[in-house]
Amino acid sequence: MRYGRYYLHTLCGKHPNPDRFTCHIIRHTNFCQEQAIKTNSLTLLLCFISGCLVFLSGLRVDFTSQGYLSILLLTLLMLIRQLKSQSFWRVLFITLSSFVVLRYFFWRINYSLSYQDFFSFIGAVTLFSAELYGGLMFFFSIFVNIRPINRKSVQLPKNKAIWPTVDVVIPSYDEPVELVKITLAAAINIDYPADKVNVFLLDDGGTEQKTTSSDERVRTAAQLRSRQFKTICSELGVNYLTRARNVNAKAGNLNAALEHLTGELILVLDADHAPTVDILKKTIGSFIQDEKVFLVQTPHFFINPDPLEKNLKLFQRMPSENSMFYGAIQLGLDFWQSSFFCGSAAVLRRKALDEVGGFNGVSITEDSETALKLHSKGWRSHYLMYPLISGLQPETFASFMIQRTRWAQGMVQNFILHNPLLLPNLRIWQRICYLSNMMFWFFPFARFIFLVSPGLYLFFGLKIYNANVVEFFSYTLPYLAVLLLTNHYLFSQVRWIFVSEIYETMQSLFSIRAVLAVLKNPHHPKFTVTPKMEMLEQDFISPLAKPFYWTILITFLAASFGVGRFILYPDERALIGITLFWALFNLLLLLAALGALYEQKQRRVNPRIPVYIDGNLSVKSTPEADELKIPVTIRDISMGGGSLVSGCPLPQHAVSGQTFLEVPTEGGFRTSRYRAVIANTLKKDGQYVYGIEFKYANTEEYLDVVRFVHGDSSRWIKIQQDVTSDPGLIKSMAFMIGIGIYHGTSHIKMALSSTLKKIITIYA
Amino acid sequence: MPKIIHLAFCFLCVFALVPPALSKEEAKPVLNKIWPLNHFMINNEPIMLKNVSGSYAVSFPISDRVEPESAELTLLLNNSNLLHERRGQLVVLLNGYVVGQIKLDPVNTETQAKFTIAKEYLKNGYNQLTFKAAQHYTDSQCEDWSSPELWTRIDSVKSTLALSYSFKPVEESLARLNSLINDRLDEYDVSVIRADEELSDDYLYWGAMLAQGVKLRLKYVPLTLNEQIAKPYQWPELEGKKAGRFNIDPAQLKNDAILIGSKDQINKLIPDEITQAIKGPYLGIFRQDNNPHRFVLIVSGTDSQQVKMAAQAFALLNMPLPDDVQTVVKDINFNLTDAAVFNHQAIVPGSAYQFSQLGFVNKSFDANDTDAKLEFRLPADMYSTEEAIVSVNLDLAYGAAMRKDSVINISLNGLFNHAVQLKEQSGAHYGNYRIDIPLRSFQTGMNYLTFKAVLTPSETGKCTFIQTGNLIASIYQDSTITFPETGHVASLPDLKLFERTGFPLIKNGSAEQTVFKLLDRSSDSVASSWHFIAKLASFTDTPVFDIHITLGDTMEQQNRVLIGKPTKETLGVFDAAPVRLGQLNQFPYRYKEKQQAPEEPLWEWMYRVLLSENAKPLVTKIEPENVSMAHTTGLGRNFLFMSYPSPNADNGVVFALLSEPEHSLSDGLTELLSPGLWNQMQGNVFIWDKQGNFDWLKEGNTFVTGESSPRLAMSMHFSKHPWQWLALVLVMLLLAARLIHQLLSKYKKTTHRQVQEDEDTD
Repeated sequence: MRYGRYYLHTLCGKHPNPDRFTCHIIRHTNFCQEQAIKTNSLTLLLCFISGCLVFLSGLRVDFTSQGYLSILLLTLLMLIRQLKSQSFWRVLFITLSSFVVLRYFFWRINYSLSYQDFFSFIGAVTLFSAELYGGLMFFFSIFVNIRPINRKSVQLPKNKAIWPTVDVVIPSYDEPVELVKITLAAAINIDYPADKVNVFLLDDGGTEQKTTSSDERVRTAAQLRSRQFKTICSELGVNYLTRARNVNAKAGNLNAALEHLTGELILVLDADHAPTVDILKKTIGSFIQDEKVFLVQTPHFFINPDPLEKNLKLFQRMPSENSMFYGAIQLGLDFWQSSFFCGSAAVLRRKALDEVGGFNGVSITEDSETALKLHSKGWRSHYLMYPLISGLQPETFASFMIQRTRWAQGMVQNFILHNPLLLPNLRIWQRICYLSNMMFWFFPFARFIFLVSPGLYLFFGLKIYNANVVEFFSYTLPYLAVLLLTNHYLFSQVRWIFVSEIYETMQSLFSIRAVLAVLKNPHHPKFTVTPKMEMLEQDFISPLAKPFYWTILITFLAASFGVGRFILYPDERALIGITLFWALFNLLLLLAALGALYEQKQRRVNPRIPVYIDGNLSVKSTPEADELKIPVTIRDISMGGGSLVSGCPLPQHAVSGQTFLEVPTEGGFRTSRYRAVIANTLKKDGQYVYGIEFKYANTEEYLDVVRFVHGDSSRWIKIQQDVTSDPGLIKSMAFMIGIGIYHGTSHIKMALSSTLKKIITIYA
Repeated sequence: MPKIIHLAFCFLCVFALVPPALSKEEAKPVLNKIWPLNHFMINNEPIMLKNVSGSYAVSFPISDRVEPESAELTLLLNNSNLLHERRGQLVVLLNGYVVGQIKLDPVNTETQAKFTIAKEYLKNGYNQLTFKAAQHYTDSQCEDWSSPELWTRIDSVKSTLALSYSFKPVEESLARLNSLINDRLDEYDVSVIRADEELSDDYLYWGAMLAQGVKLRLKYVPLTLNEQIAKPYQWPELEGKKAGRFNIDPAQLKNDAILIGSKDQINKLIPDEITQAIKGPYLGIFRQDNNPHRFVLIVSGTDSQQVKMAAQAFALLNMPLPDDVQTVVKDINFNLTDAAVFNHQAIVPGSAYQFSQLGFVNKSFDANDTDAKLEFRLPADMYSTEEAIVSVNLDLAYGAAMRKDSVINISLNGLFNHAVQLKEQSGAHYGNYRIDIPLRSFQTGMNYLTFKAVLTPSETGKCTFIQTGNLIASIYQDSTITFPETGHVASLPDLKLFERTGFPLIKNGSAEQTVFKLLDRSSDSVASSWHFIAKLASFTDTPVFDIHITLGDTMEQQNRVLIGKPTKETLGVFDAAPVRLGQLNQFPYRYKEKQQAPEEPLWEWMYRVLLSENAKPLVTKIEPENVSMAHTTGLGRNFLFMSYPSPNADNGVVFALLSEPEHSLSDGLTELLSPGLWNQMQGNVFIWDKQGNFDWLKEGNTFVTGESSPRLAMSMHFSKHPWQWLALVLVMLLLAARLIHQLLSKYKKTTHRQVQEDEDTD
């Protein structure tokens, strides 16, 4: 009805003949009422059937029937997985898997929780709480992802006069100047009428507070940085803004800038998020089409690996970690009108922001907080799954944890301070979606419980999971299989199996304290900027590895105890075997996490982006000679340079400053030239591999290189598509197990050898 | 001479009038009682003594009311004819003392031996009689200790124990009631005496409480209960004093007696000092005037309410208090408002119990002591689904160096169920050895989980010293048993269910929904009703206070028990009964059986045959097709106990316990309550006679009573038709998915009307 009324309103406003329109209104009102009645009837029927299903899931039948149900449903799930068609089959898949999960929890609550002794009971309740959390997250997850919507970009009208004005804001705090410069240049490169776009650098590193700091080191650095930025801004045509004091972190910085902004829309970019040239053309259409849209969010596409990808050598072999969120969950959230602002790569409507007093900064995740408030005011959001920025991820696990701790704390702050269940005017599905996003960040507790639980039984014999083998195979195993299958079904294109577990395991040991601190004092956390562009000169073990050693040791001992118990207690072998398997699985996760904590060296500041572009290398053997064009294939590029492959050798003496990389653009109609020098040459398998460095003679050339390296969104799409191939459940499982064992043991070997070396040095 | 004759006559008269008790007390007559040995054994079986040293112990009680004089043990035994003639011996020990030895003769294998046991070896309470056999087949030490020819068998039927004893005078203390009422010799007789000729409902209630009090003290000992109206008696005076205190005809007092009534009712029968002492609910115990070995228990009060309280107090006094000849009860606080109050050993489904909570104490097994038992009572109307499991978590330990075939066998209600193999060579302690037993293996009412250790030495064979000290295992009392939730459903009428649980007349120790109606006013019927109620109390091991017993019209209770001798006037109450007694008696007679082939839908057949683990064929349903015959003569010397749906109350049941007017219903009931006959009860019509001959029938309709929750009804239905559950779940899931899909599409159309998708997912 709500939408019916809205539609009516728009019709009224446009209809040329009011008399005829009256009939139309009546007809339309009747139609809306019929639709509403039909929807209500369907909802009631669904409620009734759901009630019946809940009732049926609570009935206990003999193990044979339960077994057959499990086999039947699992078979159906496997068959549905094979179907390419989505829609109804996706809903059916989710419905079937929900029933298995529901049935598991009914069994768990009614039959597997019994008092044995005090400590066992405490352990059992704790484990069950973690499971219940997992179950809740499962239902949230399937709700969010039941019908993802992958919207196409709304075309801009041809009449450019009605295109809205846009302010591009790039808040910065302490990021390297070179990094921010790229983003600023990329922002300048954005393809949008120049009179309708303004780029602003919001420099929080150059505030009065910093430039007049009593700490000389801080003051000097801030002044230098401020000067550098001002120079760059004037060169690039960017507006430089700063403020007096660093209040309210990023949200404060953005709000302070709002006073200077006049555009109808605001594109927010993180300092390390270089936009593609088409970012506004892809996103602005939504604002013109629907005046209630306050946000168009686009994915964060990263061109460098995160620590896990880097250290486990998984980068571009599997979808990156954030693919699951930006490639699946945001699509689901968008369907439920709950896709939210992620701090960058998003365009916001100024009018909406003004309605809620700008960017909200009570929590340290101002982005989702602002989106939540605007959703509760009836504004709508769109999510466009086009990678329109390229960014950098933290290079080390320590930086990674700084970033994740901020997210975790911010979302938990939101859960406490802006609980979606308590906020007025949100629709029920929006409440569920926000709750899902916020509650996810409690995972460290559940993950930690799952890590220690097997040990409670294997070490102390605590009966924390009261089930026999038949029950395990009838209820628990199908439940676990369904979780695995559902996860794979919903997210196989964006997340390989067990990757979530490794990421969560890595974070859990550190996030627990951070989340607890928020629970204790929700106003406690402070915004911390994630370090970027760190150079790692050599391989080293992350200083955060220590807790993992202990956890691995304990888990290993638990597993060893388990083996001992397996031999000593033949009567409990089935139960011990299952718990032992669980402990070994945990051990594997921990090993993989440990592998990721063996930091691999990274000397390149500008990450290389894999490409496949045919072009020419234009060189001159003498200043007077004609240009020699050598056909090359560009294999990778970065702001620093690139790697080219060619079948032809270069002349022996190429003239310095006269070498250009020529690349066809605009569908081959134009050729772009980028000044370069040959840094190295290598002959391999009959092919010549040339390493080049870009050399910029002026700002224009710099902007050209930035446009070439960061400006093409189709390149990001291709890279994404190349890594989204799903190897299948079994293969990805085997792959992850292999990776975990290999890198985990490498880490241990390295740790042992360095310890041994230290000992020898001491005694020598 | 005439003077002498006159004096002699007077002397004889006086002598005749002197209370015989005095003379008896002085004479201390010795009585004898003989029992076969199996009287004291749990199972009626011969005593087998196997292996090199077999032993068997039997306990027999000697009542506190008697002074044991001597005992004579007569043994009839057979031994193997392959025993070594000089190395076979049977030793008999009483309470650890050797009281006899027999040489086991391989030639004359049948031996009858008699041992006289002096009074010094006997004690009041339980006495342990142990038979130990030393049996060998060779002179050499090299022999197999477990050789099968090493056996001696004592015939427990023909072997007897005779006890000579004399009665002790009754100790006048209420604290002795427990030991006085159970004389541990044979069945116990007690008379309930009333002062008024008029029967009242109050009196019937008092008697019911007294009967329960007696029966609960007797436990398994048979009770003979009679009810009498006191015949006033005037004692002659002897030396200016009345020869007796109680003005009750001594001829009435053949047994222990309970005189019950209000102070006004009984004051003429009791001495003044007792009358004066009755100032409230009163209990007093006194020696009978003519027999100091018997007692008169006075249960009284100043009004009927006080008598009621006194009777309830008698039923409750299960501790040796108060240690006095009489007491006035001031108050009884029942405190029965808490719904979570259950009877001893009663199981509440969905709960876990430590063995100790069910009366099991730490038990160690060895080569000789091999049995332990856990007893508990399951609800009578328990309904279990197929998958419901009872978990037994044993805390057990066993010794080292036992042979691998050592086990602890676990039986449920006499049927083997599980075995725990004791296979660890170095012994083991299992803190949580879990055994799962389907709940359906249990029965409603009392259940027995028996642990029998079979412990075998690892060393066997000839020329080997076999020591058995390591053959040891323990089950600890902190072991637990966990019961799943169950429904509450029962099919009625069912005399088998009643026999085991007392259901539906008694539910969780309450008879609130039952009324006992006497069909006539005879003492025989009154005593029978009390005795029957006393039997019900034994199901709960506690007195049942909310008894409704009446002579008048039945009250509003759901269940009725009709007790007595039907007459023409009372015929109407049996209109709906399968047996109608009266001028023209109508009985069901077994005739043919109605066979009903199972109707199994195709899907059900497919599920059963293709998917079910137990693909047994569905059996034909057989129901009795009786013939109703009316004839002129009725029960005769037989007695009738029947049950049928109540025509007056939904889910109510009528029970009828009947005899012909000329026969003693009490006698019949006593026979019925004997374990041999009681356990045979089934169907809904049971007929028996005093010789223990019986027959039973199933006649008429049955109905299901209990919880009416849809959840239980569905559980029961799907328990029988699991494929329907499977199908229904699938259909519901498909429907739900379809509806969700439709709603999502509608939502999408309204919310994302203008959206164009990259890949159309709808």
